[in-house]
Amino acid sequence: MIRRRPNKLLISLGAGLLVAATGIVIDLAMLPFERGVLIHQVMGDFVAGLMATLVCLAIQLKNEEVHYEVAMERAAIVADLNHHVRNAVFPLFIAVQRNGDAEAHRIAGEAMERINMALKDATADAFVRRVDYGPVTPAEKTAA
Amino acid sequence: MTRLQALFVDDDPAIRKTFTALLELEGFEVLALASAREATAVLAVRDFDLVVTDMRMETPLAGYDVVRAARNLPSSPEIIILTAYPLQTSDWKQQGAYALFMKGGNMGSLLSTIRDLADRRRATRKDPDDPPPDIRRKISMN
Repeated sequence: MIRRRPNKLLISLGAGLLVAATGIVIDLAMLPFERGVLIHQVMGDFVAGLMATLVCLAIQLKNEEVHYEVAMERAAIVADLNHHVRNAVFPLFIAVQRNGDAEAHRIAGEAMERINMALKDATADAFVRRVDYGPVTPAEKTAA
Repeated sequence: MTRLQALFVDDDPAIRKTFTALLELEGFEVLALASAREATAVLAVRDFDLVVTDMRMETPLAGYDVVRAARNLPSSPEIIILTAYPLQTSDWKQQGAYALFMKGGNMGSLLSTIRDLADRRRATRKDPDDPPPDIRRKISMN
């Protein structure tokens, strides 16, 4: 399922408008009604709103960059895991293919299919952060 | 009848040993090497009918060095990439490989592809007793 991400620019514009509108309401409530002063205040509120928009956009872009980097690191770790498991199992699989009968081939094929499914699950788990394949911390070693 | 010549390149000794035995059962005479560097050196002086290479050896894409070296051979050997590392793109086709198989994937499909390629190779030889493409030049030890 493809999950639509909210538009970064729209969120930033919304935040900016909220800041500007809040500033205008507070100015109208707090300041005496003088046209010249209020125009300057409202202009100031819009500038504050624009700055809020830019800051909000920058924060979102930075967050996205960090998220992307983490995802890439996880993808690399899982790909390495995949590589090691497949390399370790493959000689057994070949040996069965070479020496075994049809039943042995079928059992080896099913076992390999289960390993493939486990690797796919591990990939999905790593991406949704249910598990961490990073280095083991001393506390985790003690717990194990 | 002369046996077909195969080159198998993989840095894992257990895989090298078992897959070599499997290729021999399929009727190939196999030279098994442990690195892309060794393989490219051998491919510069010797011809093969089939080249099967791992991808991730000295570098993550070392297998492509073997594919490129094999593609330059006059006999245009059949090239298969056998990898445990998922490749993101289909660059392997552009590099000149005939097929890519994942280690632990469908073994029946891999074997039938190898048999088909071997049959095709035998059929293209004018005389089944023709010597296989073999050492054309001696490796310079200098």
